[in-house]
Amino acid sequence: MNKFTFTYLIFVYALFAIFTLNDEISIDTQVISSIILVSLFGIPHGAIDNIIYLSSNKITRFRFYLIYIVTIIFYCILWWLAPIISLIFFLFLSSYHFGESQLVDYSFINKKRIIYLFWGFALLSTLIFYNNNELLSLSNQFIDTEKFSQVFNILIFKYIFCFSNVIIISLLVYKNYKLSISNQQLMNEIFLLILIHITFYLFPIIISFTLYFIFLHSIKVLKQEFDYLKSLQSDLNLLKFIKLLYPHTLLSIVFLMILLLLMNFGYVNISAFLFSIIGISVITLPHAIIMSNFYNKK
Amino acid sequence: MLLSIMEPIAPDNYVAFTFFIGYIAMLAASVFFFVERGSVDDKWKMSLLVSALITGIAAVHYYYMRDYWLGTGESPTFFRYVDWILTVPLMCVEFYLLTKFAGAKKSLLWKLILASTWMLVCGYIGEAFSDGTTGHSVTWGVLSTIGYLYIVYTVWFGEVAQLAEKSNSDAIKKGVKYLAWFVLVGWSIYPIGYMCMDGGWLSSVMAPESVDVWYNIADAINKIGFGLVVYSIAISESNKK
Repeated sequence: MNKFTFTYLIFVYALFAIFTLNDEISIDTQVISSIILVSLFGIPHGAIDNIIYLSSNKITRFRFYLIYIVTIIFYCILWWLAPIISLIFFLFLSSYHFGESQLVDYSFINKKRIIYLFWGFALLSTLIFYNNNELLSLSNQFIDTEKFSQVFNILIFKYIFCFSNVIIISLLVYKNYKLSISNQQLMNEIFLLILIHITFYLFPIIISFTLYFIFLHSIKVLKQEFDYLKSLQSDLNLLKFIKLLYPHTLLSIVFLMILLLLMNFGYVNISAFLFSIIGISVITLPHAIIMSNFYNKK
Repeated sequence: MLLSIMEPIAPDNYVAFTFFIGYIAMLAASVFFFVERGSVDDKWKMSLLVSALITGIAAVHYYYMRDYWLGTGESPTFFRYVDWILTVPLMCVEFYLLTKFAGAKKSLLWKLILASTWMLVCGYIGEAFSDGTTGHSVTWGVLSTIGYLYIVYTVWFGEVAQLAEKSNSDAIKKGVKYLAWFVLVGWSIYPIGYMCMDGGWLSSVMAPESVDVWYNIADAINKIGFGLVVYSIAISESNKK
């Protein structure tokens, strides 16, 4: 167990107590708490992609921003042309990204990309499998997301859930047998998977995903980024790091607010749910590519 | 004759069955740790004595708890907590004794004892003075968990973990890590039992007598397992010479 998992554990205990006392937390409270946490930690963890990439690659700032924005625009066009394919692509992309950030510290030589992908599959399929009814009712609530219920089909996810969890545990045990990971590290990973299962089973989908995304992903990546930049710039401290994070974080929040206002006044005619999925996916694509480049160069 | 006054245990009385198994297992473990004290170096004798005391005290309580359950059909909450208030601080003493060789101070011991006592007193109030409401169960459960989380933090990241890291012994590092797993995973079985009582989160899906089954399973794993980890460190360190 590391400190991120410990913090996660404390929040799981606290939320469990709150749920037991109150039976449920209103959807508004869930969404607002999630937005606050994502603004504080989720957005910042991708807000220094430029600094991370430019520090280890020979490319001009202009070219970097151009490629970053063009990638986002292309993905937006893909969403417009083929929403189902875009959604499936997003599930694969985020699976790989989550798996990579979780397991990057282990020195896997062979099959590491497969392991990353299966770890992410196990994570997302567990989230979708345990919260399938909630996800389907959310999808069916809006006309433009009704067709997503084909993707979130329980029969499909039942198989992906069983298959990916069995495969990832087998792969980790195999890597332990091949001495790529120690017994302690194997126990840590299995403990974390069990904890994720318990959390996703107990809590609603928004709370479950926010807990994982903030405490096990974003804060962990922020720490990795801080350590990397500290190795380049020895006088870096927390305050200086926050100063690096806030320009793009603020820019993203302002941009999101403008889009939400446009949606509210009917200028952008899509549902809040579809808007959230598209928004998260299009910024995940360049971020995942940059982080993969960062991990490979570490 | 002892056998004539003993209540027979019905084959489906799994609560009494786990009390009986628990009693025998604790007694056997206690004898084992006492006997094996002679196989380890002097500096490890105290650790094995404490392991033997933990299982020995538990064995005596399990003997009474089994009879109490058979006689009344009620959960022996009082005996249970008397057992824990004696044995759980002793488990904390094990952490202190292990890390003493790396410079652990008495203050560490007292902090762990205080945290474990807090955890148990809050748990006892939650269980023994329950009014059957969820509010009472959750409030005291949360307060008890604060003590538990303090111990988890101390053994995983705090003073105990740092002292183990500082020690030159791989056996101590490994042993403290294993004991930390017992605290994290093994001790987390107890809340399952706690949540089976009236007003608890699991009370609608598990019968109230499940409390004792969960506690007995947790005790067997934690008390005997804890002792065996200490024993394996003591033996491997003693055999080095």
